[in-house]
Amino acid sequence: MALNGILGCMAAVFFALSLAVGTTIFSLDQLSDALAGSDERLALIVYEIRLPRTVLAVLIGGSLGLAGAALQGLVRNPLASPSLFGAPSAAALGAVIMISSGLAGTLSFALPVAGMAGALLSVGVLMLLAGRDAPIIVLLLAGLVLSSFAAAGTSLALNLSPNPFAALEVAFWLLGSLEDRSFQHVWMAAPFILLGTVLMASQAGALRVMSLGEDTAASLGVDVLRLRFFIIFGVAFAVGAGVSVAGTIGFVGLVAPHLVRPLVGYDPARVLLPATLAGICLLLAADLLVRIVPTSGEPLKVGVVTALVGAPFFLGLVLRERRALAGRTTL
Amino acid sequence: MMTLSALNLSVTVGTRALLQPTDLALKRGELTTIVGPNGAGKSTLVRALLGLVKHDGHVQLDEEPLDTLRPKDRAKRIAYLPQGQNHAWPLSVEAVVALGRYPHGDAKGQNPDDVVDYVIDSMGLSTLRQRSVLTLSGGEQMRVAVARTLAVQADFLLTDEPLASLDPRYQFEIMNRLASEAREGCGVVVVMHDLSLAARYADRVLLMHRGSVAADGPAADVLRDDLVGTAFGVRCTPKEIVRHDGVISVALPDGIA
Repeated sequence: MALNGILGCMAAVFFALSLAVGTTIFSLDQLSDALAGSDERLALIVYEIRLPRTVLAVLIGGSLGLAGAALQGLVRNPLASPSLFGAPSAAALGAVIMISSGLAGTLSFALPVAGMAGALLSVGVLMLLAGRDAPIIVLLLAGLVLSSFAAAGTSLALNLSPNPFAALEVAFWLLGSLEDRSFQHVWMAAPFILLGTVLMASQAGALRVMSLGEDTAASLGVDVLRLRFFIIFGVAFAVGAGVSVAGTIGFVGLVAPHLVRPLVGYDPARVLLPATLAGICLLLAADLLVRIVPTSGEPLKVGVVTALVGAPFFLGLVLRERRALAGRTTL
Repeated sequence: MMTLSALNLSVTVGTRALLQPTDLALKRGELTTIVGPNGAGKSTLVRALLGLVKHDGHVQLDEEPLDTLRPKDRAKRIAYLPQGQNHAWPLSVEAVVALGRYPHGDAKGQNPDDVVDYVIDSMGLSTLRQRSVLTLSGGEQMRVAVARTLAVQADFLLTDEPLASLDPRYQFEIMNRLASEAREGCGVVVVMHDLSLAARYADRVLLMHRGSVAADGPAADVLRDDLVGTAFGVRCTPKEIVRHDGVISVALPDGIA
């Protein structure tokens, strides 16, 4: 529990920094003035610009960390991540259609609704494709098929975009960013992210038993179908909502559980909360980085930072798995 | 007497019948071994009794249909040790054994830790309790798995080849423990290949052949030259087996028929 305390404190520090750092960096006094509302200009910056961005980083980072931990527990593999089941790419496709058709500009809720619809549709199709009792490998392959369809659809939308500006908007949006988000975005995404979080967190005990394999888990009273249903829908809600307001932000779900897993004895249930907190810290830190690193043109996107950090991390994980497998066969 | 019974239980995958319609009643306090050649349907029978595979027919626990029980209520009464150990994460021995308490949740009026401590001690795992299960030898892992199923404190204990890949000493250790569970009132089922161990420990032997029960009864009646010879396609010679309740004569495989 000390771990959760430390991660919680770190998250609080990053949260405060995220409110203080921007085009201008506030001192502690300025920040407290702004929060208290005694300086209206500063208050406007903090409450209208930085707070929604920070709250979104907390919601999205946390839900990505949790989704990664829950999926890794479900498929019993440390290399699993939310993108495996195709929900993020389907959510992205839904949102891209809205942006390139111009609807996103005219209807403020079109973007998140389309993103969520994409994620839920992909989960529904996944369930149909994989059938009722499909082994997890079939689910993964079905997820791959859905991701391919979504990627093809996204390419098509880009290809057919009415003008170069729309294409550029889509391309930048796909990179993943928390910039210029308002509380409207927060209110649109938060209910679904929280619903997804509750669905995933409710399965903690069952995930722990899944460590022994599906058959043993079923023999110990785990309703494996229900467990799958809750986790996959939980991921679709949380990740779909996140993607639809912030674009695709990769690797947080893969990295966060890994950083904390050895510290909780590899227990798939006890890893959920620290992975959530680690996800929050990671996304807040990455979003701080994009504000600090100077660029000559367009500011750095947070999705680019997480990908740049996450990809080598993923490579390291794969190499470690390979060594572990080699060790196992020579035993 | 509490029984776990199968009525017309069968399993078909596609057009292939893995288990022919079978009637069976397993009793508490009895150690039943299921023997038979590979592919005879031993594991399928056990998995069907647990409801882990799609099946036709019924399974009842004391006249109560098993599929009307909530999964956790069923799990409290029937424990299962599957074939092979399949750990996804390097959990500690203690954490794995404690998973046996999952169906009980926070067992009211009983401290579940006491049960976990007791089975860890009684399986000789005290010195290993903080070790990762992935670093253990095959024999140690099997002891952990048995401890985990004992922690359930179920009425029936269904084990699928718990002796596979164990050295003779571990085989005796595991069988002694399962036999003592049966003497204390648990209905124990052991799927196994070693017929001399089956003869030595079983109160009842089920010989399976081509998806059905070819013979069912005391070891001396089932492990006969004709039955064993036909099921396995082997030549048999008679052997004397010393049991806790006397000496019996059985036919054990000696070469290919």
